Amino acid sequence: MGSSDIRPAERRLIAASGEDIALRLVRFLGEVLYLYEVDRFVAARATADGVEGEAFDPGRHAAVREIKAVTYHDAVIQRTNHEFRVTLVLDV
Amino acid sequence: MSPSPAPALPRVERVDQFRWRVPQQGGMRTDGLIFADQVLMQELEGDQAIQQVANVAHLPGIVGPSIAMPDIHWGYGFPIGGVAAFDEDDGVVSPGGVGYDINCGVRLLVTPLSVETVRPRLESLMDALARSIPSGVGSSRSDLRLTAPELRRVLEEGAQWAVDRGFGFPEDLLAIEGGGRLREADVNLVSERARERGKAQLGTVGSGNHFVEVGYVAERYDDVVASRLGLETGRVTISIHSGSRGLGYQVCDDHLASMLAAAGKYRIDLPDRQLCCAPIASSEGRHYWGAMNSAANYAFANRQLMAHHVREALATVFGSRPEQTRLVYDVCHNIAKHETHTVAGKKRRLCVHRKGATRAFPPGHPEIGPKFQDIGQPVLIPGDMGRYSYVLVGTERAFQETFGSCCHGAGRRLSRHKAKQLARPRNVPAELREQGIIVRAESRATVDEELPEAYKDVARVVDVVHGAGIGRKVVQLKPIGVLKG
Repeated sequence: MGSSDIRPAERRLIAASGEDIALRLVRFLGEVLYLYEVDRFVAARATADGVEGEAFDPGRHAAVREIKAVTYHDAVIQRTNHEFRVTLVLDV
Repeated sequence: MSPSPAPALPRVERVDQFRWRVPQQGGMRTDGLIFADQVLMQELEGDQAIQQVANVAHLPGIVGPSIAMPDIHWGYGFPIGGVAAFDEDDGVVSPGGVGYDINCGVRLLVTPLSVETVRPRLESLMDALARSIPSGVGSSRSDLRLTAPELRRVLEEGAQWAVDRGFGFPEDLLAIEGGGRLREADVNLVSERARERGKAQLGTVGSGNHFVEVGYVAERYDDVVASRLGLETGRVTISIHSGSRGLGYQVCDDHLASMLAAAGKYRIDLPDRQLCCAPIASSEGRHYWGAMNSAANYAFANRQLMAHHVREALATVFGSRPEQTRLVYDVCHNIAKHETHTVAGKKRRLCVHRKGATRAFPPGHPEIGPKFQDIGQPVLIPGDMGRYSYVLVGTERAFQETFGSCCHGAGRRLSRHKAKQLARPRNVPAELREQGIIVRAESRATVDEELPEAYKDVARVVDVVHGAGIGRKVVQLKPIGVLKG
């Protein structure tokens, strides 16, 4: 969505399962992608149990690139002190 | 999740001018075989792709070498440009060996028009194509939203469904790999989520490297075969490069998840998670197979529908009748198939994965249909949008050495990020216009990323497969108009 301003107007629940945190993150983002592809729902931010966002509005939002999938390829999450460093590969 | 292990880079030995061997080492069950010349091989140095060729050689039941074509570049799990065959009894099937875009492929049409006729009205043609074929991010069709029963038929019948609906002609089906309909599709195995993603995207090209391209026959290397395919010098052609859109991506994703679990269950040791796979006869393997074939049928219907819109656009602008624009061929380059091959003198049923590789069956092979018995199967190799593309035919050598497979395109040389950096200070559409090529694109970012220099020179790639004898050059096509996402 590039730098489009997305309002957290609506909530969508996402349950992502997986044996480790990287797998759960890949699946969580896969759900976010699905919400856009099927419902044209764009996420503004993540919450503990899903995302908040709004319906895609071509007047205010620019769809910059199509993402085919969030891949499992070399998905890594590292924790350093209070930060997370995440490496994910998106198929575009 | 731990990063995939980074062992010492696999050793590579030169075999001859066009062949390199990655000798069996570590957990590899077989050698790797890479087709490339010296220059292409140098470009691969330090790339993950060679490691991926070696990784694929670890998988159970692999028969013959883990093969890579000269357009190889790194992919998820399997390299793009990879071919791997597995024994039907003790081998595996892997969604990563097919890719997210199931049955991504190329279709070539030949028009009755000469390049001299088309050039003066090329702008109108490009506008007509852009109007009738949605492209770009999340492109969907407002005129065709499939009902659930109709989508079922698409997944079962592929291009046949489109022809029955009046999109194209029955003869088209004779010039599509597998007749445009794969019989092993099982619609019930396609998830509701995948179907949701597929409902409104049939007949759309998508974005990234997908395109609809207007070109012409610039050079002929085999007059007899070229004429048989209707490819006269100066004749205008249309190429369509697209696949199964969101439906296929979702099928891949659904089954990667189930196969991650299966790899543990069947004790398959994976050097990279994205290589996850399951025995061909396991329930996970069979479920993927039924769904993957359904998605492949969706892709055939998708390209058939776009061909219909191309024919309509030509009719509108030039008054040609739709049936005068003939389908030359339609190939898959992301697919797995059950095929019979001779290995060490014995006929064997194998599951051949082609990810960024094209089937290239020789003359006389029963599966290529009656039209091509004497010339071999046409192989369509698109290049970048500024240079040229090629049509080849399959050979006996390919059948013996690469399970009847050839390259699929130019292969990316620069990352999208790097291409964009190079393109930023330039005006790529204006540069191409100078060379006589009109580009219509939904986004500047796509054009910049698809910068011609971002790709290897497809002429070099094609010369390798021609030189190695796993494909034979028939014609070169040059672009004059490109519709991009």
